[in-house]
Amino acid sequence: MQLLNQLAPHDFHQRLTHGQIPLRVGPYIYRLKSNLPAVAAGIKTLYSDFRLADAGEFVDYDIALSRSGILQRLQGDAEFLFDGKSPFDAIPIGQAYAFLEWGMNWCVSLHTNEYLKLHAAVVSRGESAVIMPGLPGAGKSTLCAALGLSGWRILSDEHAMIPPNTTEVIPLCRPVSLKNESIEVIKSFSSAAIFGPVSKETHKGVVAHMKGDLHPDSHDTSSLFARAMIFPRYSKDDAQRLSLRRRTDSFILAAYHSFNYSLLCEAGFESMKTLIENVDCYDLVYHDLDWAMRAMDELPNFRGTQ
Amino acid sequence: MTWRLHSKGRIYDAQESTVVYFDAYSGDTHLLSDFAGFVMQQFGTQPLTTDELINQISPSIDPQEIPDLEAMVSGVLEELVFLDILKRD
Repeated sequence: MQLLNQLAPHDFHQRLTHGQIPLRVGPYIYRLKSNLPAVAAGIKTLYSDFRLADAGEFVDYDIALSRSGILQRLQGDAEFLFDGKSPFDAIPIGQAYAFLEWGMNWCVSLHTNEYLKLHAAVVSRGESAVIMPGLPGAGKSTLCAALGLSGWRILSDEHAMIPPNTTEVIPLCRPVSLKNESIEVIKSFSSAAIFGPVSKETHKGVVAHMKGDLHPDSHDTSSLFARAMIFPRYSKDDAQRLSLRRRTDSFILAAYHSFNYSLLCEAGFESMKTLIENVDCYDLVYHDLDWAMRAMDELPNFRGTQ
Repeated sequence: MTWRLHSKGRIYDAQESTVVYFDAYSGDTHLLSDFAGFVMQQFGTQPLTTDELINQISPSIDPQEIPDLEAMVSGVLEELVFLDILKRD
């Protein structure tokens, strides 16, 4: 199976310009098209080890991020297309790479309902996974990136995808989205972190994505069993703690963080119940990444695993 | 006065002080007290009066713990009506 980095540079650019880069990401195939240098550079850096799908395979998400026409060129804008249609307003060129990643998230968030989906980072060690739901700014991506740089496997920075009535999670590894101070925190944390283009002045501030497929098994599509659900919260002021939380409260909070719990109705309730009653649920309040990772190392089911 | 469930919902009872209730009528999910969850589990398809409900649950209730069962049940019933889980006939 061909990897993206096995394409010759000229071939890569030609194929990207003509929408012929079918990337395998977890269970899905994204077909990418772009004529923007920053997007090409980001894809080349962050998806270099991803597999290409074969010609003729079903494409789940056909997306383009391009600049076309004189007006867009003059205004410095680009356009995100999904199946040839534009669901969003024009995008400033300087934010193009971040927007590609957000668009790729949007594809899964909006269209995929065969799984119960939570807005969560997911990491694993051995055969056991930890689901970390969190609001933007809670520190889940920073923690996810640090764990990924410390031997944990990143299954996703954005979506926990749980087959109904199971405790399994489906890997959907893509780059980790870091914002503002978190970018420098992770650069200081490890020189092994590989970053794509920086997008400035986005509605989230400065955004950069870190290569997420750092583990030898990153592209394995087999599901893993979730053993814990952690609700991380970065706080400079509060005492650091990892503490068990009630399952019923966790159910409600996890449902709040779900993209499609309500859509799935009773099936969503039953799936969430199955998940919550089989994982230990925790609050993690932290301001020191090393402390947070040591605390996670000591979780039951994760102690001593590699 | 009788009370009835809008629909037979689903309860997740983890033996904590709260339960999760999924209301199939509205599609809403609620975090309720364990006592409210216990009250709701008394309802089948038939409506119940307040007295029938109290008679049904009183054998399971420690009067030391809940001295005024009637007031407690009435409060829970009002709360469940407010949440549109129960309706008053």
